[in-house]
Amino acid sequence: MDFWAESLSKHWELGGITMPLIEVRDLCKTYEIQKRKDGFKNTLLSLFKREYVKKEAVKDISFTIGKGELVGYIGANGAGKSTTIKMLSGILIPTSGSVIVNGMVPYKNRKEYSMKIGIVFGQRSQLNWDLPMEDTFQLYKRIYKISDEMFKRNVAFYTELLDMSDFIKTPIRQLSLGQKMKANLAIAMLHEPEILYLDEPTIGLDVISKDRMRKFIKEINKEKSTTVILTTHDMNDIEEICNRIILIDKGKLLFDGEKEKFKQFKPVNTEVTFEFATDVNLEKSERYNIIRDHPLLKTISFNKQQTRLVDVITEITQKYDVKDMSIKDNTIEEIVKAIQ
Amino acid sequence: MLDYIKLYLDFSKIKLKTQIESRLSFFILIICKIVGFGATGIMLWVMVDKFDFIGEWNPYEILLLFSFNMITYAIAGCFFYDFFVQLPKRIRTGELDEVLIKPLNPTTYLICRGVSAGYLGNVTVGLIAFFISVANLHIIFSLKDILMLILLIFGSSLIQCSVFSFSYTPSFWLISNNGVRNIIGDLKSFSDYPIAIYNKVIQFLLTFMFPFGFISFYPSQYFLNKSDGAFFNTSFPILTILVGLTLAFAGYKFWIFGLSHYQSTGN
Amino acid sequence: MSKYLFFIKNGFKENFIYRTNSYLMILGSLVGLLITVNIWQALYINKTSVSGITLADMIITVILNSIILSFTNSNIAEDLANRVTDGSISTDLIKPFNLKWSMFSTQLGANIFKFIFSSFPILIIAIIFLDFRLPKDNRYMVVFILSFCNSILLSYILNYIIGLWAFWLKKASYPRWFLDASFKLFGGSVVPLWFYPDALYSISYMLPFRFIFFEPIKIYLMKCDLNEAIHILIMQLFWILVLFALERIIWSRAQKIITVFGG
Repeated sequence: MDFWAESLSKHWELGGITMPLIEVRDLCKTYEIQKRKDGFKNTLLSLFKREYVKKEAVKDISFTIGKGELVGYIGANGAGKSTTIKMLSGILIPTSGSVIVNGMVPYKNRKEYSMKIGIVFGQRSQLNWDLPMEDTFQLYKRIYKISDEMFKRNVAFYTELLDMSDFIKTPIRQLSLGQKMKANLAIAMLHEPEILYLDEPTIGLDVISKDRMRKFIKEINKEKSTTVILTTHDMNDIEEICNRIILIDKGKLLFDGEKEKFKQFKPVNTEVTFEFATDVNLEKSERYNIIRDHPLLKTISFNKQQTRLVDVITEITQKYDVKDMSIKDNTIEEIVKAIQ
Repeated sequence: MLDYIKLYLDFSKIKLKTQIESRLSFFILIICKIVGFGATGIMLWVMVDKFDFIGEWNPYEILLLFSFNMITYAIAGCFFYDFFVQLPKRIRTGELDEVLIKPLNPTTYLICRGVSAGYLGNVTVGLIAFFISVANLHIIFSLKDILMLILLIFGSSLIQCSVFSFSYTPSFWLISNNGVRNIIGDLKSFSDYPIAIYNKVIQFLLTFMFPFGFISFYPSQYFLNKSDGAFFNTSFPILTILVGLTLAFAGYKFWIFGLSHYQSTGN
Repeated sequence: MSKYLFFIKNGFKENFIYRTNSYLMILGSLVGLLITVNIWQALYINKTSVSGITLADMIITVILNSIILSFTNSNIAEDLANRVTDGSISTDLIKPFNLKWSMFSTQLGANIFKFIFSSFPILIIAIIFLDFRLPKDNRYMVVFILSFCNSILLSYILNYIIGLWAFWLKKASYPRWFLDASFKLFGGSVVPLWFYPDALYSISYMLPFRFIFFEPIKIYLMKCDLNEAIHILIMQLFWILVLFALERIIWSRAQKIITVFGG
């Protein structure tokens, strides 16, 4: 499959009239990792001789992204998402292949390029100065040479959008993770970058904060026409806000297209596990199949397209004494399997 | 261009401001540093007090040597301690990435980020030692001497800065950097004493291969009118400046090389 | 008990994995030895004995100091302080082993590594080139070994107590500096206490640090009679008990701070 050509045509499909903003061609990143063997004797031997294994974190990835798109870049842990983002942002130099963003090669014109992008790392805060939010804003105003007018406008906009007025005077180290993430987002956007890279921005946040964060991202994309690339391994992030999805697994690109098309790959069967208070003999039903039958713990599976979850739950809880239940969420791994 | 200079100066100001704001914390920092370096100094003093002479150097001459070491280390540490000592941690946690995604020169940014006023303690101790020594040795400074002093301190400080780079930049390649650091540190501690007391091989090492002799020994000789040492040459004191510039340049290049390796291999 | 053995092995392994580092350690310690021996040789030119100590005595002192340092040079203070400042101490407290002893064991493993890769080569060189000898009287050797074990324990508990300061100081690097300086100034790890001016000697006399370096070396060099040597052992144990008790007190105060902050 020539992903490059496919991707380009997708780009036109999705309304990209001009040349794509981001062009990634045959991108590869290979690491050399020392092979570690267990056992004392081998550790001793490693004092003298070492073996290296090549790990291909990213292999032959190609895609194009147009201005204003909101792209979800998803994959399981270790699939190569962060590595791709690092190459897109100029932190990492590719082993081979090319990345061209708005005519620039990220790692080559680093200073100029940095002015045009904003980046938020989900697990790391970039606010390392021990200053209150306000002062940090001022600092970034200086760094990115933001005009007074743009600065005022954006500070007001983001303070309101992200609901930061409560903690704008608090020193950074006293903020919670959710607040820090908001702050990071605001700072990334202050200089009105053309592109916003988000590397797992919802990780570690509680359900409510995650939801809010997704809404912010969508809002930013809409209001400021910023091109957003969002990496995550949480399916919900994608479902709510992205129109286009790129799926990567073990360094390779598996899927690149619209969300609707992507949904087709989701497994149709949902599993629910029930824990019963007493020993129960689960009756057979048209609605579902029993796939695991233990005395107190039973798992059933049903076709989402034919039966509603709420009906299944109602049926079982009405007939039996259910102590607890859990619903198995679709995981990336299942979708990956389905696509391959 | 001027814009950037002003920006970096502002960073430094902000860093210093936040550092001094917590006065108690700052005070404790200074005390700890004085205690740390004071211990080495006191041990040196005890030795010299008991044994009268170390080589051909009397206690006050040793004090001058000590003051040179202390002052030049303080100058280098003020700008580069945080920069390099935090480097292994920043590489491990990926914090170094932050530096690569800003529209700033990474080196200048890290210097300003790490500038520390904590070295005031060292400078004070060093200056006190210097003046005590000069007073007791009855050294008189002509205008030429004062100029030399400034140049020599400048050159030595550059050597000290380069030591930071050579000691810590290897952490781009080695996960555990202690070995390199310790060796360089040990070799440098040779120069706490007048290197003329060591055998020829070591003096060669400290003059031509790891030029730590140029940090305090050879410069001190200028003011003490001494010429001991197996390889002594009248040009040595002033050679300090050349050595400093060369090593500082090499140290800078090494750091840049390490940084580009970081970009190729990630963390 | 076996879990602590596990920690010891771990502490050793952590250091052992880094090959280049291991080589450099050997090199580094030999360089260090070279420096110090050279310095004392220069100091002793034209002198046979100063304050009753000969150059031969000093060389043995230097070697023994380096061996003791390899076992007392520990990260415990810094490590503990770091855990306090970044909050991970709260998870440490709910693990099924005693934090203090686990840190001691891990450090012991690391120190054993350091001994093999830095002190041991020094010992070999010293025996071959520097005329390093065992004490003539075997009994002194026995007492020395006992006092050496006490030194290690003393150093660990001191490190731990200083590390606990982090609860109040909130910074991790200060404890390390303070300890290193104290070992130098009051412990005799650089210059033995025989050479100290009276004032400094008096201060050092009252502190526990000399029992880590100076006193065990005194035993080894047989610069005291056997009774005094045993007395030193007793004093070491006394300090160990006092410090353990002190640690308990500080720890209970520190606990209150944890509960107040919550994490």
